[in-house]
Amino acid sequence: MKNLYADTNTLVSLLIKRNKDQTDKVEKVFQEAQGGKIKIVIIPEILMEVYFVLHSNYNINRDDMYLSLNSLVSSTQLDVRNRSLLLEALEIYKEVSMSLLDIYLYLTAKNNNAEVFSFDKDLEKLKQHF
Amino acid sequence: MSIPSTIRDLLGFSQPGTVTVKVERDGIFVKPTRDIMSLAGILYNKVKLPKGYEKMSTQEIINMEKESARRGHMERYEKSLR
Repeated sequence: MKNLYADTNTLVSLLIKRNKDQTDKVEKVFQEAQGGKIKIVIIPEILMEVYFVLHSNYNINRDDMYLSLNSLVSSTQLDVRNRSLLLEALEIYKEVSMSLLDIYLYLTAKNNNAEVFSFDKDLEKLKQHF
Repeated sequence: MSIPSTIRDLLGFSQPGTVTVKVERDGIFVKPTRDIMSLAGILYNKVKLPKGYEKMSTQEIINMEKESARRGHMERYEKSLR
């Protein structure tokens, strides 16, 4: 089976349907993935970039961000790397006013029985969350 | 399988769609399965498009998005130093 590693712009294009040509192409590829002809792989680095683009460029609020990224990451028709950690990060993102990347960094360290080395005092908020 | 809306509400499934049903030793587990095509345009009515967006080429839009991702990363970084 052919594997396709999705880039940020294809995922943004799918979510916001910003341009007909791009949307048609993206939907065609996703339909093939749905039919099991190809596999679409999403790596956490790209998901974080999707988050920053939606946040900084398209002013997506936290609720809509959670809803869309959670739906994307939960889709079993996609091969989302580190899916469980990303889903956990999104659940915390819904409740704590912090960047998704900060939460993901914190959880990655925690899952490896480690701590984050940072000057960012906001990360203390996460310690309190657990 | 189709689930009546009252049951969907009860189970907390806010989106219509398919579900995965697993029968295990300690019970029956029902989990919503997100169809990837239902993600298409999920944020269509939520985005605030920047000025002049309609006239931009695909590459210009991608460059603008790359710049916004860089800006987002920088904002996060600068905030971490405060």
